Amino acid sequence: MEYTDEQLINMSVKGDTSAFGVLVERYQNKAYAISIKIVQNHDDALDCVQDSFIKAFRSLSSFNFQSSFNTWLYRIVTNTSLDLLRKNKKYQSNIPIEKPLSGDDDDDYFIQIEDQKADVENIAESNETVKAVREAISQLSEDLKKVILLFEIEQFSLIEVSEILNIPVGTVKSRLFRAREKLAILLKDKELF
Amino acid sequence: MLRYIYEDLLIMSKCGNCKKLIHEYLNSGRSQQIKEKLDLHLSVCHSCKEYFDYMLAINNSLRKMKSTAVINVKDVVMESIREEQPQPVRYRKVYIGYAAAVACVAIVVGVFAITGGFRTKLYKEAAGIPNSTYRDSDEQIIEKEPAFAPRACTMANEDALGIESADEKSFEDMIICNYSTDKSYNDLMKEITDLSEQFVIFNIYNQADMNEISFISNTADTEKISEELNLKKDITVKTETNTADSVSEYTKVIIIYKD
Repeated sequence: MEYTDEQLINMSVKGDTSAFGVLVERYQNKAYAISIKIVQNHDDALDCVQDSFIKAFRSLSSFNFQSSFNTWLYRIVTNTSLDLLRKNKKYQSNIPIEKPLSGDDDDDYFIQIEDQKADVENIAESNETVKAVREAISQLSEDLKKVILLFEIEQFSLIEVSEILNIPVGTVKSRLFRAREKLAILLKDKELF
Repeated sequence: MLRYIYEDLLIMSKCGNCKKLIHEYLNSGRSQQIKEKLDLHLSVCHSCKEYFDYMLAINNSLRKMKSTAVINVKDVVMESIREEQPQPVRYRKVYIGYAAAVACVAIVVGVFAITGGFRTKLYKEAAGIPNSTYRDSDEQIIEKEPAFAPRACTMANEDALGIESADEKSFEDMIICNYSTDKSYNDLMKEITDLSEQFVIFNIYNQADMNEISFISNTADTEKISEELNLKKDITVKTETNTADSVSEYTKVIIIYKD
């Protein structure tokens, strides 16, 4: 029998920590997908995901079910990842934010996870486009970056994005508009499209 | 039908409106209905068609970036959670409780040996009510027994009066008090450490990334501790029921401090 999130939360609050383990299993990959887009580093993203789940567990008793557990969790993940990014910028301003996951080619990881079935011919093109788009995204402000990441890349609905970021749907739309316009300007010179 | 087409054309007569509709189209997950409206204008406006194609290409690239990585952080998370559970404190309390119970039994046996039997008034003494002497039914003065540890006194009192023992209470029933302070981590920790000699404070935990220090204390001491630390109160909740109207023995104090 598969428990609902609400049942698992109630069990966790009553002391059944294994129930929380089920929630971790259920949402860890999506949480990681959000975090890696923000921190751009595998180890940091893993740390953020772990911290986010621990924070969520600590606050579980005060969770009021007004939003769904996953949007609440993704909000924690987004904020934790942005906090880490700010710390990295503050203390390691001379180190590029986009650190390679392994080896010399920092696109290895992204190719591997984003398009596992891509044929060899498309990889080079895909590499260049992805790199340019990622670079453009990294130049966006935090607010614009968040909506692009959640709506366009992770494909959450407008309502879900509004719940995760705790802002009205209208604000999500206006930020999406500005983010796309900004991306269009940043990518125009690259002549990729 | 013609009227609707005319209205659509009128709306779309400005390229600015078309631009808005293009974003609406992308926001809607590419609704066919919006596309039909757009096509009316795009078929006659070259610059809007260019803008539309460009936005669509960026949108496609972003969508391709969706990742499908598989990770497993469950074990690490569960281990951290288990480490944070207050069980060790409970075990420590159990040991203190046993020690207190043994001490009480020894005292009670001593009193029994001196007086020749239990008397109801001795419960008063166990409850810690200040009395220098008591008189038994034979008007014989009984000297007060030597004082014992306050915790031991509490245990004896609870056992004697049939009150639920502290060991049987669950930490789930704790009140949570949220405070904030302008003090730095170092200042706050120093003051908490000093206060821990005066009050019951245990399970001190620092969550550095959230600028948060938490500890567990006796509910009765919480107010005094917050005054001593000069804390600003934020919210009070009770974990089990989300109300703070009933009294719990333990309170979890959470303090947000400045960098």
